[in-house]
Amino acid sequence: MKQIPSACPVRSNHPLSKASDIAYIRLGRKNLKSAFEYYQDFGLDPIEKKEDRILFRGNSSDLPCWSLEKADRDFLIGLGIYVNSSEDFEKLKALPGAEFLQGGRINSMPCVTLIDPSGLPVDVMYVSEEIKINPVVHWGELWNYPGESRRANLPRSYESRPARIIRLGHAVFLKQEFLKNASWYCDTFGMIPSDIQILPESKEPVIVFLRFDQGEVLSDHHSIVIASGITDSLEHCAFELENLDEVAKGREWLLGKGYRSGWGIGRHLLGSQIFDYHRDPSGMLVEHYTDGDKFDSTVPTGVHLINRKSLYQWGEDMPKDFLDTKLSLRKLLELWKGILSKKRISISILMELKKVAELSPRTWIKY
Amino acid sequence: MAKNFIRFEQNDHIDWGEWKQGKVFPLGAGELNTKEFLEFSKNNPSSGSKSYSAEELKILSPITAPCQVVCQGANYRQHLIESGLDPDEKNYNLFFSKSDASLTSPLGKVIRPKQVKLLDYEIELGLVFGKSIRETWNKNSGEVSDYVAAFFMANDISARDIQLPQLQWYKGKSYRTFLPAGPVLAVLEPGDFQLWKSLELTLLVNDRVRQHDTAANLVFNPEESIRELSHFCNIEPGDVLLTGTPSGCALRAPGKLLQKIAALLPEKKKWELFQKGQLKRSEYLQPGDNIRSFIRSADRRIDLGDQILRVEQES
Repeated sequence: MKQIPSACPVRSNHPLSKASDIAYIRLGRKNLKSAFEYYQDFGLDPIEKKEDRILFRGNSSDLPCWSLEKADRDFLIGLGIYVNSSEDFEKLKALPGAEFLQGGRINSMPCVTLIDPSGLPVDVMYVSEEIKINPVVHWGELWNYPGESRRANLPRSYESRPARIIRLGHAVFLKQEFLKNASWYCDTFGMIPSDIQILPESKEPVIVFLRFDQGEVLSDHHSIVIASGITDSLEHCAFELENLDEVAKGREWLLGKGYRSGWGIGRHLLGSQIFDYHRDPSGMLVEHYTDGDKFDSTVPTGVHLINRKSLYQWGEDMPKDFLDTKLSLRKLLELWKGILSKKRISISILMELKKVAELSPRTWIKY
Repeated sequence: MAKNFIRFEQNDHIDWGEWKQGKVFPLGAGELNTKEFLEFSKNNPSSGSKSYSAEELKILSPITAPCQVVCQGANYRQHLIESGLDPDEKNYNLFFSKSDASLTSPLGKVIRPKQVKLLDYEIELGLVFGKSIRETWNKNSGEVSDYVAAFFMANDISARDIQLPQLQWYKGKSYRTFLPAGPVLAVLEPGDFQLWKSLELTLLVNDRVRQHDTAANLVFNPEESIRELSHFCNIEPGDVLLTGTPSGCALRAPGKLLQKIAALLPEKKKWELFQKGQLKRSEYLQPGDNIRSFIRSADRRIDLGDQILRVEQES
């Protein structure tokens, strides 16, 4: 008999805090030099370069959003989150096990570090809106529309350069314990499930797109995504650009430098953003995106089936290796470690997920 | 794009409001039934700037009695299979009816009658008629979409231990509170009707997904169902059609072999066995259970709102 599926993550009635945005990602890198060069070509702006750490920012803020740190392997070190209220900050500071750093972690702001259920350090900083955000610069590019020629007598200027990154938009985490981790982000930071994807057979929830609850203020459709995975890891991070032209220019620049593409330009279904995926020198996916959905706190959760086709409404054919369904020795070892440490991992869910991920999204693509 | 309306009660006063961005904007329409409101809404009523959150109001069913409730059974392929029917052999459109006494608020409770143990849930897309059908569909009848004024969400609550052993669908599906409807009455604008195909239906019991499917998987689509209905039924504005439920109900038919053996048993013994088998299933609704359901398209062009119900035992 089929089991009743696990519960879906839900918005918490009494979250510990209401966080406002994702601040930064910290990554360990074996080869800092190649990573440094790559992320400049990707469009990030270096603001600090030391032997064991490089910090980057986007155009919307002088605070770092990307930290590459010297390590003996390529892995996710931690995540940073902003809260807008000092009361919320004090509440989180008082949590058992919270570690307080007066001098900050990768910037100079006081920081409280919590550990999420997968063991990932999450740095929380209190920032009032004004300090964090530079006024958004619109480059004022002119467009011709049918019946409205704003670019009269002016050819489109040709300019080859990396994409101009506005900000770090979201991060997608794979977690061995899906519900426990997703619920933790809802309960701790007041995140709202925008959309949930479920497996077709078992109806098990396996992906949740979480947005920050800022009341009437609009939030990105997703700032943190939690997905069921064999390992606890970072699947990809996405950076916001001004428009489609920037996305395509960024792609041209990276391909011209000889870097490997991750997918290609298309439009997502959930979140709606125009996307373009690349792979950094470690093989990790990074995304340029624009025109994502913005929701306030009133938009209720949607539930959808998951399959490859549910990832996009239009776009280039998805490469076979875009979704990493291969079982490497290291992944199996991580899985085994998770099981030994008594984590609630369902092998049958992972198997169903693998099966779904291997189905070709379009009848004309034969993988 | 469809306009969303809510019927509510506040300070013993019933009104309709427009439902926008999670808030109700009262229209001062007064106590209109569904048919009257559909007429009223044609004149593009405007709401004031004053709004309420759903928690401040008593939200009522946007479908009002008296009305005719026509239902379709076994209209999603997978639901047919789990109900013990062979989708390739069942080639008729199954219609039945529910009493309008079963209509109830979409944010409230479902009461399990004393004698009922096998209480089941069925999320359904509901269509509201806006135009009479008084003769068999013919070439002058026009487009089906001209007859459908609105969409809404329904839960076809069923007492399986009445419906099946007593062969009484009408009774087993019509106890009071057995038809939570709403919250949203999505009044359609030209071109909206075709969006039914993109609607996703989801029902959760205690936050667990029990039913999920897309209306595109209906076996008999609304167009052909309404045309067929016209052969044996008169329809008036305000009447509704429930289009059937996807797989995932608590009810599960016994296997083929068991059914063959049961067919040889005396009727009484057969249903005793049925009852015993079904009681083992933990999926049936129990007092205290929470049911949350919603119907919307992924792009949210049509959103019929969230229905939140609590199961209570009849005292």
